[in-house]
Formats: sequence, structure tokens, C-alpha cells
Amino acid sequence: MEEQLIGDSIRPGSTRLLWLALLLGLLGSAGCQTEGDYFFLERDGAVMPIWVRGNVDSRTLLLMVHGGPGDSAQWYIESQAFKALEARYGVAYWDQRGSGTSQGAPPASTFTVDEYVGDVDAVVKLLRARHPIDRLFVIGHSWGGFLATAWLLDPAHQVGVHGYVMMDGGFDLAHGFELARQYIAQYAQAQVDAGVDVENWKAALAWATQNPPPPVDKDSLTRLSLYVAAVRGYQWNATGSEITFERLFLSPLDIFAYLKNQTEALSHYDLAGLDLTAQMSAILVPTLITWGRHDGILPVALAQQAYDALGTAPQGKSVVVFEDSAHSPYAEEPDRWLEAVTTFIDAR
Amino acid sequence: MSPLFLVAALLAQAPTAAEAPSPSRLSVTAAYLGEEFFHPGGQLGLEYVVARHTWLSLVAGANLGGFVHYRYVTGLYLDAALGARATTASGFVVELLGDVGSLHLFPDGPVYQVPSAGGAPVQVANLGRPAFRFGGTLGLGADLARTKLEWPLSLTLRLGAFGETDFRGTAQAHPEALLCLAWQLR
Repeated sequence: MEEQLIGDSIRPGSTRLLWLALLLGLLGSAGCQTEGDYFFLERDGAVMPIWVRGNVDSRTLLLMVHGGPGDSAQWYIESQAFKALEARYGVAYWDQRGSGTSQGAPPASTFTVDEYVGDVDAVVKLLRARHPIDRLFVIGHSWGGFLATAWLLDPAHQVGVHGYVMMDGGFDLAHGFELARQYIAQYAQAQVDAGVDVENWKAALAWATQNPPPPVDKDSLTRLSLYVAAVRGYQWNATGSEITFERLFLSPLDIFAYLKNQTEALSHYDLAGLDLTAQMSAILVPTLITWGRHDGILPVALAQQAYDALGTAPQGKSVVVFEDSAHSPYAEEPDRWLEAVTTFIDAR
Repeated sequence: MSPLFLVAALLAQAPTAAEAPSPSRLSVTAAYLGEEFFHPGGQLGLEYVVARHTWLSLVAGANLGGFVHYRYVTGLYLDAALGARATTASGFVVELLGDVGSLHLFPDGPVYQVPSAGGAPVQVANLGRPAFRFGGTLGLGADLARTKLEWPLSLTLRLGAFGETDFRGTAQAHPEALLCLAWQLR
């Protein structure tokens, strides 16, 4: 009788707590993103995740080389454009060393362009070993546009690559940042002329028009980045936050590792000294260059520069400018970007 | 409820030594652990009341636990904890615990290497990486031994975070929630 009494007394609270524990466990396990092939590449101290998703049976694989340095390829997964790409092709999302949700303890000496290029090569070899690939395409966005370009400079790497999609790619960061400075100045002048928030825009104008401009060190890069955001140079039209409950709590992406990695990876590069223009004549693979008209960090003038620098024959390369986008046309004009990319891929 | 009000409420309810039951000093604990709240794990431990002054206790313990952050890491840890716990006469518990220990994190998936000299990629042993763990939690719960049930159990919800270091030269934070059941040994 006493046991029954105790049982009755304790049941309401304990049952709720048991349900809560069960719910947390179920959410934690059942809500996880289990699709696709997920594995790690260990190389020179870094343990880098690779997530192959989508229609791998198509035997066409797109390797996404993310921006940054320090960002994550896994941000692209939730976008409308990449979901649509996954419906047609396999897409491999790789987080670079010291970036995104990568692990390991890569020494500072491995944060070099050569090392990153070696990583790309190892990723491609690993992808080919795990999946049957008839056609391989590489997509490089922003910093990824630098890295993918750097990898493709070696003719041996171009073998078996059916095409390259450069999206607002940072192949010439030195010139890109100078163009960004000019873009900020023009935008700020327009705001001053229109009488909008005059004091702040005057400060931006003063910074952007210093002559000679200050060297692009880390502090000025930070300032540049803040002004680019202010002139809507990353995102021309607000497309909503990429940070969702699922992303934060149920995906493989660890947001705390991501934030730490992002800071760390950026600290290792002298970005302003990186320019591949003179070497790009060695790239002969078909290339689609996509660019946002309002890109403030790598302005659209770079698109023609990339086109001119590539060694690809004119019939194998093209530029598509997205009039209502800044740095990420795949997010701001997904339908148009998708049409351009799938047309390019399906033609090869 | 402000902390001052909480302390005042605790003091108002503090039982005298004669009123308070005399629970055991040693407890066995089991907990559901949610790393970043939703990545499931568990923890087993022992806890000892080092000192007790009416409603306030100094507790020490040791725990063995683990969690799976799916497709990121599987973590295993062993830690030592120390903290303070306030328990009202009615059995309401507020506690603050800190811990330090050893944490080992394994990438949650197969790991491959690509030979630099050429050749096919090979799957390698997933040895993971060792780390130093430090953390703290704030807990709220009930000590059922203080209720009319007089069960030698307490149930506590702990919220906090632990740090993993070295990670990129400093530490990486892992928020955590623990639903902890402690059985007081007689």
C-alpha cells in the first residue's frame, strides 16, 4: 500500500521528466541529418569533413569549394539552388582545413596556398575512390574561387574535370580589394549627396578615398568588410538568415567550432598579396563565370578580368552577371543562377 | 526571480539541524546529457558531500560520460567535479558545480588518408584527439529525501557548458544540459 502511495505521488513529475529526457534523446538522434555519404579526410594535421549528397547515381559530381577562408561548405546545403542541384547531380561539400567544422590540429605552417591546393587534390582523389564519377565539376565561391583556380593551374589537375563554375571568385584579391574600396567610395558619395546618414557615410568616404590607400592588413580588411556589409555588398537583398534551429542543433555543423575556425583561418593569410591572373592562361577547362552586379567585396569588374585571363577557348567560357545580387547570386537569384549552372553542366 | 530573492527565500526556508533529515554523504548519479542540448549522451558518477552546514553542502564527485554529436564528434570524458548545493526543507535544490577532466573526441565517421606518393585512399584508425575539459553547470531540482516520500533520490536539471582545449590555440565551448538522477547510498 505504501509503495502504491509513493508511486502515485511521484508519478506526475517523474513521468514528465522521463518524457522530457526521451524527447531530448529522440530529437537529438531522429532529427539528425543522416542523408548522404559523410566521411573525413585526414591530411597534415587536419581532419576535414566531406559530405556527398544528392543524385550521385547521375555519376556527375559537383565539388563545392567554399569561401572564407574559414567558412563552411555546409552553409550552402540549405539553399534553394543547391537543393535543386542535388536533385540533378551529386554535390560534395568539403570543409577546408581549419575551416567550418573541420577538426584536427593543423599546424600554422600548413595554412598555405600550396597546402590547400594539396587538400583539394586529395579530396578529389578520395571522391573518385568512393563514388563512380563520369563527370566532375568544381564550383568555387569567393575565397573558394581563388582556391579552385589555384588547383586548376596544374594541367594534371584539369584531367577529368569537365567544367569550372567560378562564382564571385577571389582569383585576384589584391585588385579585388582595391575595387571594393572604390565601390564603397562611390556608394558612400551617393549617400552623402542624397543626404542620407551624412556623417557616417562621410566617414566611410574618407576611409575609402585615402590616397594612397592604406595597405590591406588585417585591421583594414576588417574595416573593409564592415563597410562592404554597410553598402549591401555581400547581400543586395535580404534573403533571410541561414541560421536555423536545424542548422544550430541538429546538423553536423558545430557553430562554436565554426566561429573559432573562421577567426583562426583568416589570421593565417596575407590575402591582399594573392593574385593568380598571370597564371590563369594555363586553365583550359570549360568555365562559367557567375557574378553579382552589386558585389562589394569582389566587384563585378573582376568577372571580365577572369574571362580574359583564362586560357579556355572563347566558346568554352562565358560570363553571366546577376543584376539583383551582390556576393552570392546562388542565394539572391537562385532560379537564374541555377539555370545558368545547369545549362553549363548539361552541355558538357 | 532575482538571485537575491532566491537566496532570501532559501534562508527563510532553511531548516534547523534538528528538523533536517540526515541523508547519506555518498550518491551514485546517472544523467542524460545533451551536448549542445540535442546531441544525446549520458553520464555516470559518484558524488560525495564533503561538508554540510544546515541547508548548504559542499559536494565533490567524479563522472564518466559521453555523447554523440552526429557526424561531428563522439566524445568520452572523465572528470572531477566540485560545487555547492543549497537544499530547502521542502527539498528544492539549487546547485552550482564546476568540473575539470579529460576529454577525448573522435570524428564521427570513417577517416581516410590519401597517400602523398600516390595510390588509393586508405581508411585509417580513428584515434581522435585528446583534450582538457573544464566546465560548469547551474542546477535546479528536487531532493526527494527531504519530502514526505523520504526517497533517497534527487532529480536535477543542470544547464551549463564545458570547454574543450586546446582547440585552435584556445578553447571550444560546448553548451550542455544534464537531467541527473542521484541515488543516495545508505
